[in-house]
Formats: sequence, structure tokens, C-alpha cells
Amino acid sequence: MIKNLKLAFLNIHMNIKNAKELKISFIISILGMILNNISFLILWYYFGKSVGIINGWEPTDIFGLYGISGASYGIIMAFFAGIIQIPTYISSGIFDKYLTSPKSILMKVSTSKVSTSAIGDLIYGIICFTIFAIIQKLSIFKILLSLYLVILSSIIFYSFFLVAMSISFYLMDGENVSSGLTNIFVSNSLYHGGAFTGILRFVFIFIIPSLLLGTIPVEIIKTLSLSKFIIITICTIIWLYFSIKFFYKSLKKYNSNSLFGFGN
Amino acid sequence: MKLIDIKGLTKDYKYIEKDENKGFIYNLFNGKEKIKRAVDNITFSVDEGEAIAFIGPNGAGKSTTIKMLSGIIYPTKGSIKINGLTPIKDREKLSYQIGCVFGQRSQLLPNLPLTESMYMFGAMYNMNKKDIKKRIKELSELFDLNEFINQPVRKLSLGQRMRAEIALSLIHRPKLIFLDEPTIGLDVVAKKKLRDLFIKINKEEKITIFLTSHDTEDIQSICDRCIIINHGKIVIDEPTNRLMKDYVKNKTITITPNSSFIEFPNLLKGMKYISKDKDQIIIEVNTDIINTQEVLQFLTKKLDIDDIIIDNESLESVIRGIYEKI
Amino acid sequence: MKKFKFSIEVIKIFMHNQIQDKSNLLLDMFNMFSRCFIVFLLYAYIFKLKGGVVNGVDYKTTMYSMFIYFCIMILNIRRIDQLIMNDVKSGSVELYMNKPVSYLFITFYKTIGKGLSSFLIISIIGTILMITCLGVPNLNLSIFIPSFIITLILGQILGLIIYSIVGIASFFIVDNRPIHWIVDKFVMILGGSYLPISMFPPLMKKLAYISPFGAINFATSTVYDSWNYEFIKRIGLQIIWILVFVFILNIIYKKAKEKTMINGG
Repeated sequence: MIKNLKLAFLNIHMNIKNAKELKISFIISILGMILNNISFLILWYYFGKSVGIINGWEPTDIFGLYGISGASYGIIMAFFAGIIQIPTYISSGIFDKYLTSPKSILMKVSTSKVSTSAIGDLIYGIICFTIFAIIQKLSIFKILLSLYLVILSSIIFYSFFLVAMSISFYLMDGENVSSGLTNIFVSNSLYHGGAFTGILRFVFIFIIPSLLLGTIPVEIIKTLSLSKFIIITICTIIWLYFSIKFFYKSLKKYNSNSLFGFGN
Repeated sequence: MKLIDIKGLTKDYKYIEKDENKGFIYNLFNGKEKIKRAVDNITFSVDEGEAIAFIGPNGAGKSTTIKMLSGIIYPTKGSIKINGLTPIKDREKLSYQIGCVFGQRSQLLPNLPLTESMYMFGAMYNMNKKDIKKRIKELSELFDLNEFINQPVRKLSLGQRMRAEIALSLIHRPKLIFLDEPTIGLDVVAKKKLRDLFIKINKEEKITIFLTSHDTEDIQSICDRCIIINHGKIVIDEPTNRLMKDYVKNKTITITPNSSFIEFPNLLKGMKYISKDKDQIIIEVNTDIINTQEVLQFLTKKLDIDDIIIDNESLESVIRGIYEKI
Repeated sequence: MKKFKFSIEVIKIFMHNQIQDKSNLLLDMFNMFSRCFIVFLLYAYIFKLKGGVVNGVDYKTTMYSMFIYFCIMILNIRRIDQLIMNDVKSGSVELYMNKPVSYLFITFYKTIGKGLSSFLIISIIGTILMITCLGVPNLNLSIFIPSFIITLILGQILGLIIYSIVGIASFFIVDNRPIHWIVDKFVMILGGSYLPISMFPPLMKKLAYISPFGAINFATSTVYDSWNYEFIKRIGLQIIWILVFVFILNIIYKKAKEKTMINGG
């Protein structure tokens, strides 16, 4: 385990160094991502301002939503962006090289790539959360609770991506299905939290866990709801366990494709 | 009739040399412009119906030349005429007369069956449906495509894919086909199949072939003529069989004894041991210095021989020798 | 005529392929309906809070506007910049340089072909569902039908051109995604994706009207009353933007081609 972690850190470190070589595009992609995210924030903030409180959601809660989901997405994509490459690795045959690695395959694949723009997401998330914490005057306890929720949210991001990407093992042209699923998962987590009621809320908590990424954590921080706290904790454990099992089960389906430069 | 006619073709690449110790902004304004000459004043012509091998070590300027001939990049100097057309000026007209296959890149639409790619390319070359259909039938017979023509291209094996790739590039009945390392990565059986095809399209469809390859078998079996290029210059331009005669200077002789070799005599000038042990002796002979007859006389006199095998050097080692010399 | 035949052929091939690939269509459908569902519920709540009318526009009209936006998203012409970027990175853009049809046109047709069948199927099913659930929108059909088709086509052409420029930027810079995100967000927000146009603050309304990014999605404005007296002006604006961006695209594509042809990419 320790050896695996060491290897993971080494991998991440090398990848970041690599990205930094292209300094200008490194900075541009971070700033680009921050700007990109700010546009969503402005949109929903303005929305909240003009309509007031909806289903208990105040305009400023949007900072909390984007703070937590931005930070956890940033953490996963900055350091474990390799998982979203799985379909590409499969279709190009690159996956072979991970199978022959003596260390944990999942760890090696996960850390095989960093996404520089995700560092933008992470910075943006931290800024948003800071604003949220100041506006809500969060206590130390609530800040610690938030940190815990960020960790859970990161794990859910990771697990869902892993499942969505592992589907590619079963399909010939899995890239589209995998990216379609992650699109649905991520884009629904960015909506104003007040939008989800009734069946919609149920679906996006228990089936596609978009709301666990930011919406539910913000509600927990605000209301200290014990039931939501238990739900999110249990869901996270189940997702993590299930996703790793599913990955290794799917891995057995892998048959190597020949490497060939398709340009289309 | 001359199909390709090149005079004084030259290509320079410009690049900016950066000072590693200085920052980005400094280099943006102070970087020194350097010139690298990739192709240096080459002149040759190719007749209609010929099959030419255009070879050289990595970085010799082969791909650059092919790209200039097919109208992808501009030459810095010199003139190119392909069937009377200048590639850069008459790009569209030229495109109807040439086909290109790059072994490491694909022009096929990966998720679609080959027929769809063929229909798309056919329409691009302004052929009508009937004509495309007829051509697909011809090509699938010639290339044995029927077994996989309706499968999505990404499911094909590499050998099948290469055949598909070549069939696609012939859809519009070009006069000339550029093949850039077409057999790369293929197994021996697939390679052989492909080579036979090239010979067939050269002989039956009368398509001129312009081939680059690192595989000497390709060259030997397909091409009548060999142009070797290095550092952007043509170093040899000869028929392939003459190349063998002119440059094959060494023979290897393998001798097995009746019982076993006990002593190893000193050899004549122009002969040297490659290996010697009691079961087998291998000797290399330089035919410039000593002829084969003398060698055989000498060996039969000195050694107790059961069997003797004489091998010519392969084209591969000839070419290796040429690369090393130039 | 030759070129037209070719374009139809390419679009047909890709449409055909799209229909065969059921998983894509299903995903597009799920994506579309989940988005519509979320937004429609959200705004139903809001319109109820505000007494049924916001800024002089009712719930039904607003939802039709957003529905049109989601349909256009299914067509997904934005993907053209990624297609171009991938071709540039893999070098296969070179393979198209010596073909009788321009690389850009081939990519245009591919992009349209890839989204068109999903777009048509989902729009038709969606429209039927919309009419069943919300009723027929209050429209002046003799203006709406022709002007909607024209503005939709012009908008998508403008989109193809603008996103191609973003794609071609990858000839000059390593990673064009940051430009993609920013252009994309402008197009998305000004098109009325999350916040319907009728709820825009004045500055945004103006931007959506006069900027090229807003012009891509003018089709989402066709259901509003104001469309009836400003449609000629808006279509005129789209044509002007198309001319401007064709001019820019030409320059930048020529530069990119020269860069490949003189310096080998």
C-alpha cells in the first residue's frame, strides 16, 4: 500500500513537471478554467438574486455549491485524470502497458495523467468556498465538516468516473457512452440546488449521484442534518467499494487492440 | 513518358533557436533564426509505369520529398512536374491523378465500414454512384476485401486495414501512388500479401509506384529502381538488381567438416574468419580483392570439407553499408 | 453542384452511422430529457412564485425557448473545434491537404452529419411531448416557420465558422481548449441555456442581441412576441456576422495552411 502511494506521488509529480514545461499554456489553461467557471457562478448568482430563496436555497449558497464541487472535481482531475483516459487507452491499445506493470493497475492508470486546467478548478473551488465561509460566518467545526465533505465528494467523483469509464471494456466504441454518462453526472451537479425536488432529488442522489457532489454537502453544512450526513457517508462507501470491484471485473473483458494511428 | 520530373528540388525549414538560460519573453524577441536544409538540390525523373523505391536513413528527407511531390508542402527552390502539373499551383487537378498511403496514419473513417469511406472519397473525387459501385467491386476483387468490407474499420486487423487503406487511395484510379512505409508493423504473411498486391497494381493497373520503406524485402520484390537519399541529397540512383551487383562486395562461405576441424589455416588476403570451431567455419570474402574460384581452390586444398555454402550479402546489409559510408 | 453532391454524401454517411449507433441516441435523449425536466420544474416553481408572468413573458413561452436551446445542443456543432484540434495534433490534417475538397468543408459536413439524426429525432419527439404537456405555443405561424428555419440555419453556419476559428487556433497554440471554454460559455449563456432570455438583465440582453455569440442562438428568441417585429433585423445581423467571420476564418486558415506547407506543421 505504502509502495503504491509512493509510486502514485512520483507519477503525479512527473506529470506536473511535464505540464509545467509548457509554461504559457499551463497558465492559460488554469486561468481559462477559472474564467469558465466564473461564468456559471455569475449566472446562478444573478438567477438567485432575481428570484430570491427557492426551496431553502439563498443566492449566496451557490458559492458553497461551486466551492465544494469545484474543489473536489479539481482534486480528482488534477491528480487522477488518468481514469477518464481509460476508454482512449482501451481503444488505442495503450492499456497493455498498465497491465504489465507490477504495481496496482488502478493506481497506475489513475495517476497516469494530470489535467492542468483542473488546477484552475481547484483554485476556483477554494476561492468560492472561502467567500461562502465568510458570508455564512462558518465556525471551525463547520469548516472541518466541510473538509470531510470535500473528501467524500472527491471519492464520489472518482468512483462514478471509474464506473462510467469501465463500461468501455464492454463496448467497442465506448468513448461516447462514457463521456455521455459523465456529462450527465457533472452537468446536473452544477444546477441551482433549489431545482431538485421529489423524484428528481431521489434520482440524482441514489442513481446518478450528482447531488452528492455539492448540493447535499451545502445543505448539511447549513442545516447540520444528521440524516443527510449518514446518507452521504454510506453512499460514498458503497460507491467506492462497488466501483473498484466493477473496474477489476471489467478488466477481465479487456482484449488488446492493435495500435494504429487513426486520425479521425 | 516522364510522369515525375524534378529539378533542383530544395526544402529549407526555419526554426528559432532559443537560449535555454533566458526566459520566454527574451527568447520571443531575441531567438536566432536558423535554417535546416531537409532536401538539398535533388534532380530525378520517373517514367510512367515504373516502381521506384525512395529510401534513406531516418531524417534523410524522404517524407519531406513525398510531401512536396503530393502538394502538401511548398518547396523552397526547384521545380516539380507531375504529369505536367505543378503540385502547389495545380493542387486540385493533381489530386485526381495521385493517391497517397501513409503507413502510420489513416484516412479511413474508423467507426464506419470501408464501403462508406469509399463512397465518401468517391464523391470527393466527383465520381457518380454507379461508377463508385463498379470501382468498389473491382477493388474488392483485386484486394480480397469481401470478407470484411462491411465491418467497421476499427474492427479490422492491421493487415486488413492496410489493404483497405490502399484500396481507398485507388478509388479514383490515380496514375501514381505514393506509399510511405506501407508495410510497417505487419506480420510476414500480411507483408507478402501486400507486396504481391503492389506488383499487381503496378503491372495490371499500370499504376506508377513511389515507395519509401525501411524493409528491404519491399524494395527488392516491388521496385525496379532504387533511389537512396541521405542528408537531403541523392547518393545512389540505380536499378535494384544493378545495386546488388555493384555494391555486393562480400560473400560469406560456410563450411562443415567430414569429421571435425582440427586446425585453422592462415587465410589469403581478402578472406577473414567470422567464426571458427570444430563443427563449422564461416569465412567472409571480399570479391574486390580475391575471386571466388581462388578461394574455393584454396579451401579444398587446406580443409577436409563435407559441405560448402556460399551466400551473397543481402540487400539489407548492402544498404546498411551504403548508409554507413555516406 | 459537385461540391453540393459531396456535402450531401458525407452528411448522409455520418447520419446513417449515427442512427445505427443506438447508445449515442439514447444518451442524447436521456441528457435532453433530464435537462428539460430539471429546468422545467425549476422554472415552474419560480413562475408560480412570481404570479405566472416574469418580465411580461409567461411560463409556456419561456419553456419553448429553452426547449429550442436544448435541441440545438443536440446538434452539437461546437464539436468541430475538437475535431480540428485532434486532426492537427495527430497530423492527419495533412492527409486532406492534397484532396480536391477543402479540409474545412469536409469537417463542416462531418460535424453536421454527426449530430443531425439525433437532432431531428429528438426535436420531433420533444416537440410532440411539449405540445402534449404545455399546449401549442402562441405564435404567428406564417412568420415563425420560415424565419425560424432561416435563423436556425444561419445561426448554425455562424457557429460552425466561429468554432472552426477556435479549432484552427490549435495550429498556432498548443492547447486551444481555454479559448473553447470561453467562447462556449458566451454562446451558452447568451443563448439562454440556464437562464431564459426573458429573464436577462438589460446589459446581457443587449449583449445577446448585438454579439456574434448571441447570434448563434437567435433561434431561441423566435418564440417571443418581440421576434415578430425584429426578425428581419436579427437575420440581417446574422448575415453580417457570417460575412465578418468568413473573412476572419479565411485569413486564419490561409495562415495555418501556409504554416503547414512552409514549415511542415
